[in-house]
Amino acid sequence: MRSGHMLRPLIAVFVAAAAAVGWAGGHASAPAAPAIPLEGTGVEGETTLRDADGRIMVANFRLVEPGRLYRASSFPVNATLDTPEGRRPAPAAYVGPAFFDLLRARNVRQVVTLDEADHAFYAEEGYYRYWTERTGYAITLTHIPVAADDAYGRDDLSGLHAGAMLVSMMRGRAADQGAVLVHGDAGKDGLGIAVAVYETWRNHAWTDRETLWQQVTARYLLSNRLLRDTGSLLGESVKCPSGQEGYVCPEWLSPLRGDVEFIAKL
Amino acid sequence: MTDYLKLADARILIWLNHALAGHPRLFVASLLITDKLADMAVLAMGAVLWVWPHRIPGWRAAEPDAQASVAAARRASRARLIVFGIGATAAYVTARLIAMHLDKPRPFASYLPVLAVPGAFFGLREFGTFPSDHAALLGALPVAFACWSMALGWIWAVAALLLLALRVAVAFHYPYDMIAGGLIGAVFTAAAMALYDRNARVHGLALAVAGRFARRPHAYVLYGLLAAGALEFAFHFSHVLAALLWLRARL
Repeated sequence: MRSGHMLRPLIAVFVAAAAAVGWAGGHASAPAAPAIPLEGTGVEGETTLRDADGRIMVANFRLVEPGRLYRASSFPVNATLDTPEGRRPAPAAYVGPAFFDLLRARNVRQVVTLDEADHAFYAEEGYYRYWTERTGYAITLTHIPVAADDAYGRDDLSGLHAGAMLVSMMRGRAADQGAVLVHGDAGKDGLGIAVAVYETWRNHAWTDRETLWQQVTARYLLSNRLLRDTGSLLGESVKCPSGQEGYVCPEWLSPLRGDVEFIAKL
Repeated sequence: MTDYLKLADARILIWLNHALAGHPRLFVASLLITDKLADMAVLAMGAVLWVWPHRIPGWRAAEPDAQASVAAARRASRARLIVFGIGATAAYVTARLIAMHLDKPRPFASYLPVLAVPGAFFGLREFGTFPSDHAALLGALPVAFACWSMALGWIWAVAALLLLALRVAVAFHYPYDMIAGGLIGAVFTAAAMALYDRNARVHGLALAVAGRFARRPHAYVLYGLLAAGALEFAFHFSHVLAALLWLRARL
C-alpha cells in the first residue's frame, strides 16, 4: 500500500520538525547588553510637565533607559484650539511648540502611542507633522493600541502586547536613531505593563529574578506618587485589595508576572 | 518542559513572521497562496484524479480495479477519492473538536508581537489554535495522493510542508499546531486508505458508490451531494461541526 510508504517518511518529517522547533527555538536569545539602572526611579526633574499657562501637557514623565526610552501619560484635554471648524477642546500639549521642543531637547525621534482611539492617533500625528515641517526635526508616531478595559489582559489589545511590540521595536533600534517616547492613558496601566515588560527584557540576563521583579514592581507603583499632583485629571485613585490607596495596585501586576517574564525571554 | 516548548514555539513563530512581514507584498502573496490558491490546487488535483486518473503514469498497473478499461480506472480512482474525502473530513473535524476543547488563542489574538499587513486576520476565529484543522488536511494530501503515484505523494508532501510553514509565517498558527494537525491528517488518511485496501466490505461499497457516478439518474443526486461536500469544504465544514455540537448537546 503506497499510502503507508508515504506515511512513514511524513511522520518522520513531522517528528523531526517538532524536534527542530524545540532545538532551534529553545536556544536562549543573546542578552540585551548592558543592563539598565532600575535601582532608581527614572525621574529627572519635573514629572508633570506644564505649558507657559500652567496647564498640564503630560504627567508621569520619566526615563526608562538613558538616551533611548522615555515614558509618559497621554495628553489630558484641558485647553482649546482654534480650528477651521471653530474653537475645539484640545490637549494643552497640542497648543504651540512647547511639547515638541521638549521632545526635541531629549533627542526623541519616535513616539509610540498606546491610546486606543484612532482619532487621538491622527490628531497626534498631525501635531508632529505640523512641527516637523516647520522645524525640519522629524518625529514619527507609531500606534500600538491598548484597550482601557483590557490593559491587564493577555490578548492583542493588552499592555502585555504593547510591551512585546515595544521590545520587538527597540531590539532593532540603533543608538543613532534617537530616543523613543512611549505614552498611554495616565502612564500607569497599559503603559505600566508595557514598560515592566521592557525593563524585564533588558535586565533579565543580568539581575537575579526576584530582585528584578521587585525593582520592576517598585517602578510600576511609582505612578501612585507621581500622579498625585494631577488631581483627577488623569483618573481617580482606588482602594487596593491590600488596603492601600493608589492609582495602581501591586495585585494588578503580580498575576501577569509569568507572562512578563515569558515575553522577556522571547 | 512545557514552558520550554511554549517558548520554542513562540520564538520560531516570531522569527518566521518577522522575516515575512518585512516584505509586505510577499506577505499578501503568502495569504493568497495559503488560503485561495492552495484550495484551488487541491480541487484541481481532485478533478484530475476524478476524470483523468488513467493519465497518472504507473497507477493503473498498480491498482487492480483500474486495469480493465478507462471507465474501470475512473471508478477505482473515484472510490479511493471518496474514501480519502471521508478520512480527511474525519481528520479535519477531529482536529477542530480538539482545538475547540483546548480553546487556545491564535497567535494574532495573543500578546505576541505578531506583524501583518492590514486586514490579514479579518474574519478569522481567534481561538482554537491547537491543533490546526487546516494542517490536518495538508497532512492528509501526500498520504492520499501517494496511492496514485509516489512522485505525486512527494510533490504534495513538499507543497504541504511549505504551506504549513507559510501558515506559521502569516501568524495564523504556532509551529506545533501545524505539526500536530499534520500528524492527525496523515494518520487518519492512512487509516482510511488501509481500510479501503484491506476491508472487502468498505472496498466494495466505495466501488459501488463510485460506479453510480457514471449512471443516470443516480449521478445527478451523487454530484449534488459532491457539490454540497465541496461547498462544505469551502465553509470549513462549519455545518458538520455545528451538527456535531448540536448532537453532543442533546446526548
